[in-house]
Amino acid sequence: MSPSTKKPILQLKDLTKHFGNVVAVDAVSLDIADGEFLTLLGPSGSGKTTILNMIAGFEFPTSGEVILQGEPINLLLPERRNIGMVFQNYALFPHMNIFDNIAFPLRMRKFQKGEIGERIDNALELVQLQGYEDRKPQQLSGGQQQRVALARALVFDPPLLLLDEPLGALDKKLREHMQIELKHIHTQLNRTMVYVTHDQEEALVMSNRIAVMNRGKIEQVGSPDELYEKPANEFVAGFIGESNIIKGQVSHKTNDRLTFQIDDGSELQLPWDGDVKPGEEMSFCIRPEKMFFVDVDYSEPCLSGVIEEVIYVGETKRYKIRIGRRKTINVREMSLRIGGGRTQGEEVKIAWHKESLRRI
Amino acid sequence: MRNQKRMEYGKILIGIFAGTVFVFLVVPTILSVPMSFSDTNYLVFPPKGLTLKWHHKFFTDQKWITPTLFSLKLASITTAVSLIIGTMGSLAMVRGILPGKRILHLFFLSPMMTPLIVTAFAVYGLFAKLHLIGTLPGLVLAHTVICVPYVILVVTANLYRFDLSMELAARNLGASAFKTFMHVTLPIIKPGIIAAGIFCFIESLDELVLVLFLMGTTKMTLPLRMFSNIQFRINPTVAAASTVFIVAAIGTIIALSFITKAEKPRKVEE
Repeated sequence: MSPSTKKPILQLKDLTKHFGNVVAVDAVSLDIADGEFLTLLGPSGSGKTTILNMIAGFEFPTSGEVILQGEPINLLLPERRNIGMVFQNYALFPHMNIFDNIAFPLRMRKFQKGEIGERIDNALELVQLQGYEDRKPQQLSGGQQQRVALARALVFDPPLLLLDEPLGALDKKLREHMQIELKHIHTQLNRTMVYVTHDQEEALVMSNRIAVMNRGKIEQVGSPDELYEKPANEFVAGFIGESNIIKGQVSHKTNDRLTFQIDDGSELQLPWDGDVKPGEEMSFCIRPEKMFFVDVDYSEPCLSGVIEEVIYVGETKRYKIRIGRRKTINVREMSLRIGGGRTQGEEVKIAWHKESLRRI
Repeated sequence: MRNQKRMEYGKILIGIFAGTVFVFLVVPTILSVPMSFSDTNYLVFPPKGLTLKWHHKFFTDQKWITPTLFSLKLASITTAVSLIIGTMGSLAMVRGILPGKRILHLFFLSPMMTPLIVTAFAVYGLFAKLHLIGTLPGLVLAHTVICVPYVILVVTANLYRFDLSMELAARNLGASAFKTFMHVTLPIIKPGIIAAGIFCFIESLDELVLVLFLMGTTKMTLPLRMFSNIQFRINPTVAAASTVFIVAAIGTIIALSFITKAEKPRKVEE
């Protein structure tokens, strides 16, 4: 889905939030398309939850605007915004049973009794919890409680659903299961969802687009593969997946190779045909799985080094390879053969497809 | 080996200590029950004979009924007023943006730490000027002063434990601030409010010091009636009154344990 072709349902314009001297959100602008699954991804304290709270109306922006379906909603009370929200700790009402919990938004909107029943049936079917109407939230497991919270947030047909780390409290297996289920619900309802998480894998699995946040700012917005294959900077490269960052100064350059001095004083030769001048500071990034071992008589420009450590991860082996005096990089290799692979202390040459090495 | 033996001695000592405390605290209270059945015109233990006439007297003699009803009225109004003021005060102190919240909190609790006789003395002077001595509103006011701290203590504890995201969820789902309070906050802190209400009721029902100062001569509360009964002619009606008190207190404790049990359904494992 290309967000630019669809009209945005939610727009953030220079949204800023200060808490005392702390700038929690710093002039964030973002358009979210109708039907999109957008994830705000970032470490804790990066401002992603504050953005969600400003969209929901729990926090008042210091400056900037939140625009929902073309209307500025900054001054609207949370109960007037008609936005669904799923909280990390479920926030189900413990004194009400499941039926009354899901009926709450409908009763607040003065729906007729018959329609309330019908909508709750549909909502419970959507999250596969039919027959649980009379239970109390405390009698349900964490995953079931989260489904109830989801049903409650969707039952009044809000145009936008906010999810604040909704799977954070679940164990790994259940979390993965719920990711897929949420994705199915998103496809089924085609509802716009804004999802907050610090889990990069979760963001990659579920999102149409991801906005990577750091220190109150958006570092990069893009589809999961864009962010993974073309990270805009070191933060994104390091936060999404694993990356080798090679920083240094150009000593000289020929047509297709670059001689490059890195921080530990050693010189490396990298295949690179971009435009650079000697003396220029450069950073490169390359994913561990994009590199492979080549024969010692390989003539193309490549890196050589010594294997310092071998870590067995199951489907792959991770090699820590020293390429300079102290500088090491990680290389991942699929375990194709039982007992295959390389050993510690071995001298190796590593290469990659040209486009895998990215300047950042 | 030696440590184990020592621990066992320790256990025995604690048992003896607890037993002694139990005997001195509880036994005199419970003794009033058999004494109320004594067929004598004075209090005696062990009771002589068996009669219900003192209980009958308590429930039929206007000398006892009027003060009892007055005490119940006083305790009910005091409880209602204390709960409203205490709950609102607790909300202000937990949720409100107030300068010096901690000092305010301590101030609200201070009547609990002030000796009752001091409060009584202070209130007496003021009430004499305001012509509140011997009036129901005056007593309600005085009892509210000593009951509000109980409410504040219990309800603030409840509010501090309250998960705020539940209120945010209610607002997000379309409830105004007032509806959120009525439908979400209040029902969730209700057990605390009920417990505080029972404290208030009992506190007001058996309070004597303030009543001695502020009662004047026209009306009587039940504790005051019991007190003068003991002073002038000790007959077992006072024991019968105590028995009624004990039964009522045990009843409320049982009711309270049922309420708290009902609010905490069994947690289910994942």
